[in-house]
Amino acid sequence: MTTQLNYIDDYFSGILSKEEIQLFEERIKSDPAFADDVAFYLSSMVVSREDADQEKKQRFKELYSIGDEQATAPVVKFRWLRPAMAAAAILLVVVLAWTLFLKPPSVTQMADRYIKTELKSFGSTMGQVNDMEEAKGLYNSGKYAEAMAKLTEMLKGKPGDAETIKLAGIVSLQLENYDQALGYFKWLAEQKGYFDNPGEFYQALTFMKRNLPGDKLKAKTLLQDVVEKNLSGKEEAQTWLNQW
Amino acid sequence: MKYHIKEEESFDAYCDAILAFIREFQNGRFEGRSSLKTYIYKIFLNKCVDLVRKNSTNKRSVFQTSMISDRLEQLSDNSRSILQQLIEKADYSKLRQQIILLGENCQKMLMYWADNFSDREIAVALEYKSADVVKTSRLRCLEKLKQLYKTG
Repeated sequence: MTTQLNYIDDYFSGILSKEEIQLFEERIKSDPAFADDVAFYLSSMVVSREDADQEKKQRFKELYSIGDEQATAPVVKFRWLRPAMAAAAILLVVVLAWTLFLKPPSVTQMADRYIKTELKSFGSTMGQVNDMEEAKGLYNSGKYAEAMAKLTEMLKGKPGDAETIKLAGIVSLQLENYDQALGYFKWLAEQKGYFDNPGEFYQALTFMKRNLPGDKLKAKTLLQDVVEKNLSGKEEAQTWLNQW
Repeated sequence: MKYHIKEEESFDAYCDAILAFIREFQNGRFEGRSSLKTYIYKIFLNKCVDLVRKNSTNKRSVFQTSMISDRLEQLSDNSRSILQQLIEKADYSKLRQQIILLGENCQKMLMYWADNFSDREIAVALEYKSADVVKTSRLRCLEKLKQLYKTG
């Protein structure tokens, strides 16, 4: 099987990196044979899409019948409109129900759900008053910018503290500062002595949330690693991979 | 009546409008700024206009690229205009005949693919082992179609 069509398919599936996307688009301009292949790929999609639409229209028509067998009845313009609207309403409800309730969640939706439920707040240690408790308190109150400021100050004093870096990564994720979050989680993943290291899992979560071209594949690879190496987040990772 | 199109054609335009709305909704383009009725009605009017243009000029070219506007939007402006010109020149009746020659399995798979189903969803719908198997089969169908189209 040619790798050319595979490459074109990867582009339109959104799994190429930024650099690969640029190369792909440059090649369309500089290589006429390649541009022809891309055009062929898209033209095939046009024809198949028309065929899919024709099938749906046929099913739609079968929901009611056009034409009046009682030839003596006066012809009423648009007499098909009411049953057609009813049929369209049924089709619309079915498709919307599928889209909203039955369609498997996207990776971003899976990430959103996890962040909303599992990273909603952090437990605090009763009676303890220190910088970490203060930072957690700010996080739990939804004051992410203030929490980030506190954590940054803490990291100046103790730059290698894993718990601080973990929380800083999560706050960056909440603030949608994905590059910063990835930086923190990557550092965390590289800490060999850190028991039950969640670094790779959180990196995967960030890629799923960011969902730029290439991110989905990076997230999948990390999740597979988490499962294989029995790292923190393994159960969730397996559940997500099953729905991938 | 306004656009002087037959009842059968206006029914087709109505079906196209509903299908186009479903696609827009799935792609997240319907933002709820107008009511559903107004939005669908506007699409329906545009479909009637497309039909009049298609009937009067026999020009399918704009129609073809509008069918895959979601894919073309991914490209930069220069690449897009190069591809649009090539897509407009394609021999669609020949492509359609060659797709029939691929057989029912390939046809079904390509229809699901063109309708924005993911490989995982196609695997479930057509009872394939996995998304990877679907992707391999789908690309094999496209490769076969390419050979038929270029040599046929």
